Amino acid sequence: MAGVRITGLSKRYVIGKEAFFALEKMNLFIEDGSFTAIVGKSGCGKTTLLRLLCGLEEKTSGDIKFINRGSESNGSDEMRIGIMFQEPRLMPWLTIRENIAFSLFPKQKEIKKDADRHLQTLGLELFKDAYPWQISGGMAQRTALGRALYYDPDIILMDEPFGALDYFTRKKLQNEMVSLFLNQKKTFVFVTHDIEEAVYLSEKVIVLEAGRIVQELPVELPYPRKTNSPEFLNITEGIYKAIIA
Amino acid sequence: MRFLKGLLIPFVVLAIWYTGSKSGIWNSFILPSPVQTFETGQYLITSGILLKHVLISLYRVFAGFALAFLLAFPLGIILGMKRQLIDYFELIIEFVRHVPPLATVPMLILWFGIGEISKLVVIVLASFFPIFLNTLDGVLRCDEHLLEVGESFGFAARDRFKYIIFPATFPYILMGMRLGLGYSWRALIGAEIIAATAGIGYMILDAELLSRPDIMIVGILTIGILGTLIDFVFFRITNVFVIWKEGEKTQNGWG
Ligand SMILES: Nc1ncnc2c1ncn2[C@@H]1O[C@H](COP(=O)(O)OP(=O)(O)OP(=O)(O)O)[C@@H](O)[C@H]1O
Ligand SMILES: [Mg+2]
Repeated sequence: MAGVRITGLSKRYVIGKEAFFALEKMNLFIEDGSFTAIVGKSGCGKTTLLRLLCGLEEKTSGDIKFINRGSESNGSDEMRIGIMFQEPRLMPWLTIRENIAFSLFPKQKEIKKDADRHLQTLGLELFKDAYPWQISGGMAQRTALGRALYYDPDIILMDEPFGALDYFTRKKLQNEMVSLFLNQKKTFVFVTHDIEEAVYLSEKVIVLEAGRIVQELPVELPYPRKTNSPEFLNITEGIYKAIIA
Repeated sequence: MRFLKGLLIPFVVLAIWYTGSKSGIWNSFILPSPVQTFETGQYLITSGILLKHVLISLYRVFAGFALAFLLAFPLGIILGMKRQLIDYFELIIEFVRHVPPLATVPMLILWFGIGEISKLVVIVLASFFPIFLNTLDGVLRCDEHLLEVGESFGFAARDRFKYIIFPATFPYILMGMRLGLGYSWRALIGAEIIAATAGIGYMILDAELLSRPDIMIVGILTIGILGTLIDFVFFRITNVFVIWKEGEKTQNGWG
């Protein structure tokens, strides 16, 4: 478990001769063990934020501090940050079980029991010896989720993980996410286009617009949530207005 | 079934050859009959002459091929990992690639005589490029997205190579080796025809001096059959390792 304190974080990109800020002077506190959802239109900087958090991208300015058991640190050295990308990004030469265990390949000789536990909770045990080209898109995303969980990160970043899935699979995985969150002591940061998904899953919804936070909205509803309850609809509508405003 | 279909055309050719020889359409000094060729083949096999030449040729191919691999594989990996080095090599590689190995044989004879070294160099020249270029290509094509996965898990450079780049490049390396093996086989026969005292190529050249077209035909058939066999065995052995490239499996020809 770990929290994150982001202060004045900016990321500047140069495309051709034009420079612009994909993130601009962002301040955000992500609480230890919380579930934060980030929503916003395409190109508002969601992926950029996640990539900065897990160190795949260099920040232009500002600060990212990780808070672990009360002490703050700059680096993600003692911190494990797992990311689930927009695409599954599985290794085509490894089986599903091996893909799940991939993160610890350099450190361990044998695949731990955890891999089988994740295979089971994610409903993949029948396919554990299959190769990525033999499974469906939904299974591939679940494998990617299993891989992120096996890494046992303090913070787990997810970039529209269910964006490419059909309605039913998405619903199923959302429920799996909720039980994962309730059962695991981890900090979740979840990027999505889908406002309903954000409200269904998270304790706090961050609305991004052109690299800036335009709204932070706590969702104080008990899990599991009912998407048709008046409180739920109220919150989704509030976010919807914030985005189109 | 597919194999039988493939035998149809050779069988037709054999039939035409046989009838043509039987009815005396062509002179047996130019084209001996299949029966005579078969008998010559039998003699070359049982006397051990053919085996001697075959073993010498095979030995040269595998020695040269192994040497080429030892040079080409690391160079392909290194250039693929350190792309800034490619600029230094691009021109020279492009130049050498367009020089047929056989064109260097007279020069090699001048330097090394007609001993083993000149043949070895020809084979190395022939099989170096397919191995090198395919390995390099494989590394360069390694999916950036997959590399990021390793990076996000904090893999050191060595582990990124071991667990991502190498397995991703592996099918390309095998393809390069397979091409290289084929190229070196062809180049070797050429080199043996120009300068050698043994080997299948030499056997064919010697048959010319003896005016023995039947031996030439046996030599040509041996070259083709052995080349096919080497490719088949290599494909079978290596295909086990690339089970994950399902789409490409069927394109390799051996099914
Ligand atoms: N490597 C890069 N070089 C230049 N510009 C970039 C790069 N990566 C992202 N950008 C730009 O930064 C902005 C934010 O991109 P980002 O990928 O964070 O958007 P996003 O919110 O994740 O969008 P989507 O919902 O479509 O995934 C975009 O305008 C994009 O063009
Ligand atoms: Mg994105």
